Amino acid sequence: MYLFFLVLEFFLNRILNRFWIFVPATPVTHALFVGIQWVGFVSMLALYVYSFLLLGHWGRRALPLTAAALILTAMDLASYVGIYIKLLWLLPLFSSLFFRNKLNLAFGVYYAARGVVG
Amino acid sequence: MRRPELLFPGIALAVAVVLAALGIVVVTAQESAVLVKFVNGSLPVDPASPLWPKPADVPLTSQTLVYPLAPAVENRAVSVAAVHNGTHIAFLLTWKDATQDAAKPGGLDVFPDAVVVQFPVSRAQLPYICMGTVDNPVNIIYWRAGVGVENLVAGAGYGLSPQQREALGLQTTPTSPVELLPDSAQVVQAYAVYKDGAWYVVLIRPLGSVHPLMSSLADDFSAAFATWDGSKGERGGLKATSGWVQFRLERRIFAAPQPTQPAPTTMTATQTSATTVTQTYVVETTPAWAWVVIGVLVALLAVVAGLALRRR
Repeated sequence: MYLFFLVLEFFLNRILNRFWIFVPATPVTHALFVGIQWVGFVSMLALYVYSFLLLGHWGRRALPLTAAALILTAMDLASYVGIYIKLLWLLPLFSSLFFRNKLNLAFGVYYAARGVVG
Repeated sequence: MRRPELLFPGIALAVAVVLAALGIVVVTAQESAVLVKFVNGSLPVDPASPLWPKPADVPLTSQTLVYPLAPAVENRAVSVAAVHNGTHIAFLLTWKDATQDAAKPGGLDVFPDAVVVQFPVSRAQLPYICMGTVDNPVNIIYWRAGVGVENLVAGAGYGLSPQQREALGLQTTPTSPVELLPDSAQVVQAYAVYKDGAWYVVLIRPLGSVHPLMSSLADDFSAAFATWDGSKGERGGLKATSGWVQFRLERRIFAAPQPTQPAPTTMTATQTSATTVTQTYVVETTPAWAWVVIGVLVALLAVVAGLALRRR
């Protein structure tokens, strides 16, 4: 289910939106586009809430990860008040210390590299 | 207690729908935007003014659609800083240019250095980056050294009937995909300085729109940039362009204008002509810090809910 939200968010917000310039603009396609944006937005929010629900459900063993997630998210959101300390890209790498497999590690390294470069 | 395979996603989805319906933005897929700083009072026209925030570097690439193509790939960028005062917005555009090429009256032998800022007219969908399309036009501020500044529209021309064009104050028949907006919409001011091998151009325009084909910038908006280096023969489509850049207006709550007390005794018989004053107030009812608190609170509540469901 987590993957479902993730794929939905990724597909609707990041891929389909960008290809939409090739679709002729009519009232119907525009309504469809707005619908896609809303579903993508809702799935993005659902992913946010679901992630923290799962962190809570994992209990004490995920406490450092939960704390890191909350702190990094709070720092990220602080950009709303002009404090730009965006370190959320560290979280996948930190997470891979708790869920050790090659896929998580690769995911973490990828986002860390992107964070460092960009 | 059932396993959380369906329970948790269900809760997450329900909360997400409520958050979305309430317009609570705790997470976004958009890249960070350039902040348009709020200044109280007059906007700065001096590029050296301390009122300008730290500029953002916007990379430019030579366009690859119109021949002759640029002779070489080079690193070009335009630095962009922007401020607003609730009614007007000012952009400070800075870019390096080794030679100062300004058009002279009657001169045909100089291609002037130039810069444009392009805005989507519609908010529904970002237009095609190369000056829009018939059904999704762009509004362009075009500044040229020695010529001045123009407020233009691109893309709309061939999509309008002669009657519509006349009503919009455009020529009955379009002669170019890029057109000058009517005089009533020429409301952009420019202040330019060439110093130490760089252009510093300040462009000031109203935040709101004064013409249906002029973009309103009263809410967060997107913009794209392009520069021309005249000494390299750049003109027309031969230029360096950027992608779309997001801009976010720093919010300030404005007190509603208080009705002024009429003078109690003086009566004047002077008839003044009627004037229409359009003023754009940027009003944000929720302070920015509240979004931070709400975002963290939602995350914290989700963690606690997950913990509580684990214990049951």
